[in-house]
Amino acid sequence: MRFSMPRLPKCSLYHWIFVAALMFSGSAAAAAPERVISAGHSITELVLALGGGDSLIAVDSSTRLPADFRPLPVVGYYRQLPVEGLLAQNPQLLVGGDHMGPANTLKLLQESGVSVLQLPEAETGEQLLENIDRLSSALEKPAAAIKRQVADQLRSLKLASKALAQPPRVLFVRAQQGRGLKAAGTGTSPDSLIRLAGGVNTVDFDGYKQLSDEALLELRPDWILFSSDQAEQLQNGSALLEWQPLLKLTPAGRRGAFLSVDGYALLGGIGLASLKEAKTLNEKLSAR
Amino acid sequence: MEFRLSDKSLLPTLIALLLVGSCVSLGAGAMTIGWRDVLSGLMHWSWPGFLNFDVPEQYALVLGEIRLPRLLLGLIVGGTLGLCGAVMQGLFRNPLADPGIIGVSAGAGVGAALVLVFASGAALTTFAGGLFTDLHWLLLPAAASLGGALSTWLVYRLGDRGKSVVMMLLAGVAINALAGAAIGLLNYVADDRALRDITLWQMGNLGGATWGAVAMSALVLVIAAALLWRRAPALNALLLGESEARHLGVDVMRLKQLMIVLTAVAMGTAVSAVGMIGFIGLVVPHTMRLLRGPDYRFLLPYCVLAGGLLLVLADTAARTLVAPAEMPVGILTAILGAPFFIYLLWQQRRQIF
Repeated sequence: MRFSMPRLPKCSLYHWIFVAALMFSGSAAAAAPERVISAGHSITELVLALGGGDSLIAVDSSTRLPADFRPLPVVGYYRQLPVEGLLAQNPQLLVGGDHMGPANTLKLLQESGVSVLQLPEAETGEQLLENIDRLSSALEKPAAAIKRQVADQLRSLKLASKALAQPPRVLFVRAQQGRGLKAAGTGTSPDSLIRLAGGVNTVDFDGYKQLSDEALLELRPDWILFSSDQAEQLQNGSALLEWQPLLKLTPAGRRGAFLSVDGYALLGGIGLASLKEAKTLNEKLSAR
Repeated sequence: MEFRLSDKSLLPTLIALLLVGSCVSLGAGAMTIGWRDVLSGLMHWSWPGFLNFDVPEQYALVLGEIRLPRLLLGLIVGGTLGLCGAVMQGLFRNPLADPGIIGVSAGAGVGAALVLVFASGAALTTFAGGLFTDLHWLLLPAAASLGGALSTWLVYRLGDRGKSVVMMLLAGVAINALAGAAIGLLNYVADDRALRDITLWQMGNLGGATWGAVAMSALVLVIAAALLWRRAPALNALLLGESEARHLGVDVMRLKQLMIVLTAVAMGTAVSAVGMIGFIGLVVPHTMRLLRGPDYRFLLPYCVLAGGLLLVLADTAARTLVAPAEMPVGILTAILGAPFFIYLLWQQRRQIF
């Protein structure tokens, strides 16, 4: 066991070291954080876009890093982050969505001097710009270039939406064979994506809910979207018609208007990938 | 059942294993801390400035606020599960009875899930004008205990007051199914946050250990264990059969009520603190009975010690195997416990039918 009884001359030496350490840590806090953990795919995307890639030391399991990025430790799912696993990475800053947790982990992290930044899931372009601002000041990276790029994308999306003669009725589903369809309502990432692309979400309930067969007819979707992770399973929509023959009676079913959207653009609200995906989606919606 | 250790060797063995296990648990984790720093870190945390220990501040925090409460909660909850398993097996006079299998944990789970979904702090504040917010931390254990008590009572009555093993197991299956449906329904109406809480919690996890949870479950365990240990001779008499126990002067009805209420409260508190952790209540009493025999005077304290040991070891594995991430400990105990349960069934297959 290494310990020493306080002796007078040593004590003052310790004091000097302590004061020096305080000054050092003070100046370190003022500089840009060098050790950042990011939890949530869309947040990590923003960190990388802001040029914070060099300071990124760990990510959560929902994050998909670019193929050429260096491998990083994975600290578990963003909703149940283990506090010691995070502390072991010796981070200065943890950034993530407002669903990041549990609360006890965040509390203990803050007590040990780690800054925690929680960003709300962006439902609109304005909220995304706000998130970029908050993240850029936490990372101490300039945001102007990205903000300009995002604003441009939002503007062109708005113009493209107006160009649509009549906003198409769009339904986003998650399907399971024999268990029917779940549709994404308000407050979900697909809902934001549909609105960005200039469509109208056919359902207006909150969150994901099971759809009854008859409701499907009533909703009259012009387009049906599903996540790319289901694309293979749904055989680009033809499996949906098999599982739910009533779909053939909807406008989307008659025309075979099924579209797959990038699953990673649907995580954690509107992110940079969602803007790109909204553009692609808008082009497809305008095609017919 | 011939393999038995004498009391003289089993108790020191258990205590030694507990000490070693606790030290391993304190020393192991995602953050690498040398054993010297574990000691000095803990000293520094408990009495900062006592001796001039040369350890990083962060070690003190990790040890004092994360690993130590987690270790203690593991010991206490594991002990509670072991104790409740032993009592259940005594109540039903069957080694297959376990709080998980006969639906007590599931009942407690429904009670807790109800609170998680409908009585979040915010909902209570708007509902009762802040009257209940101060009592919110009590609501979860209370609801879980109530759910646990209800299902214990149901199993007990359906199982012909504990006499019919088959009925009891069937009742357990039915209650587990019903509880599963109820939790499914709650999942359906829950918002995102509540959904996360329920899922996290069904898998069992010691990650949320706080000093408050430690104090609460310790209090319940001490009271329950003390009350039950005092009735150990009566529990022994009950092993002979109900009428025999009655002839020996035991108030069987009151004893059984005591057992049901105490198990339900203890299970409720444990479940509300860490979620559902299966099979410790089954494996531990059975092993202890094999090692030391069925005498409740020894069985009860040994089950508390061994249950704590098992859960602490499982939790240490859960948080180091996939570090820096973590596994839910409930999955590990189930992997450990399910083969054991199959072995038990194999052994008893002639007795059941």
